[in-house]
Amino acid sequence: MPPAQAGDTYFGNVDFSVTANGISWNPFEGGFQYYEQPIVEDIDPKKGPSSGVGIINFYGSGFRADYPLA
Amino acid sequence: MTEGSSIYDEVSKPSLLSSDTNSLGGPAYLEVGLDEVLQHAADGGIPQQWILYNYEPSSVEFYSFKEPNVLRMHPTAGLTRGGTFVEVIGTWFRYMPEYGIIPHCRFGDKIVRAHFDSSVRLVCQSPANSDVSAKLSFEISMNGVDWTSTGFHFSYYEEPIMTDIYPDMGSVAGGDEIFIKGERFTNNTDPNEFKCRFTPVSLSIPPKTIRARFINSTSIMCPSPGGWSEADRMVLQVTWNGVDYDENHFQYSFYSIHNAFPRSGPSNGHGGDIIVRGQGFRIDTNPSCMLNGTQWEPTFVNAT
Repeated sequence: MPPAQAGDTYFGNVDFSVTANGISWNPFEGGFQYYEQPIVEDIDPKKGPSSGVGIINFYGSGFRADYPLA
Repeated sequence: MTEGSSIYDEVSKPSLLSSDTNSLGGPAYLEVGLDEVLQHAADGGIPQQWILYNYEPSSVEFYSFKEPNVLRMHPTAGLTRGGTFVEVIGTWFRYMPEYGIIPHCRFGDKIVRAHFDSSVRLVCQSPANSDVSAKLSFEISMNGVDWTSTGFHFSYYEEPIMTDIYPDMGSVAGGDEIFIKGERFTNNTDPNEFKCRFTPVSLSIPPKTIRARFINSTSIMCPSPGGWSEADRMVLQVTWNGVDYDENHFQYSFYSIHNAFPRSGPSNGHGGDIIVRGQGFRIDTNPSCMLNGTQWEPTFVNAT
């Protein structure tokens, strides 16, 4: 994955297209979305039941909820 | 009746039946003889005329036939080396070799025998002809003697030499321009018959044909057709007359792009590969991605 030209803290969409024959470009609607690399500093709890029930909390920085392109 | 002076005349009638346009034709024995014309100059009156028919039967059989009518011919152009199958559609075609009724076609001044398919369809193979400048008159005959003008013309063109196509790959959606380079390309044929044909190598569907565009004597263009269910390799052939396709068997392949994942990632570029999925990808056709105006070569390529 290429880095964003605007730097490591850039957040936003850029044009994204692909060519299979070197001539015709096929753009993807919405382009490609860059976001600042999130940093996870801690999680809590660090252990739990093997049945998978429960909530794990992540603590850190750079978390966002607006990633429509996945 | 007053007997007056007699005048004798001789009349030649090769075919009495030919004067009857309603006749469907048929066999008849020839009778040979004279029409004796007697004219009586009556005194002070209107001259009167009698004809005495003096004919002797013969054993010579004559077959008359209705003049054929040509409604359509296809194609109207062929290669100078000849051999193009020309379909002639019309009415009153006959084949009765016992009477010498064998259909023929005439391309300008060259005559070939026709294949009699039915009373409404003949097929002729065009003879070789090096004259590429003229539109030759096309005529047919049921006996090789009496010719019927069809109103159609036939032209000749040299066999084109095709050396290269570019690009040799395009989107399955169609609409790409494919340029073919070579020599001896002509625009002296029916533009409606100047076509490109795309025949799938793997898909079990019929070929698609699309009209080609003449650029100059060394370059033509084929628009790629769309409507393919999936990507595939094609054999691309060109015809200038709608019948004779080139035998170069150039390959053209269609690709399709389905999706890319992921569509987002960290700005520092530490997000791993972006996988573009589709069909028909080839490493030799310079596939690449463009992000924010910068082109990136793929890290790997396979067909999907």
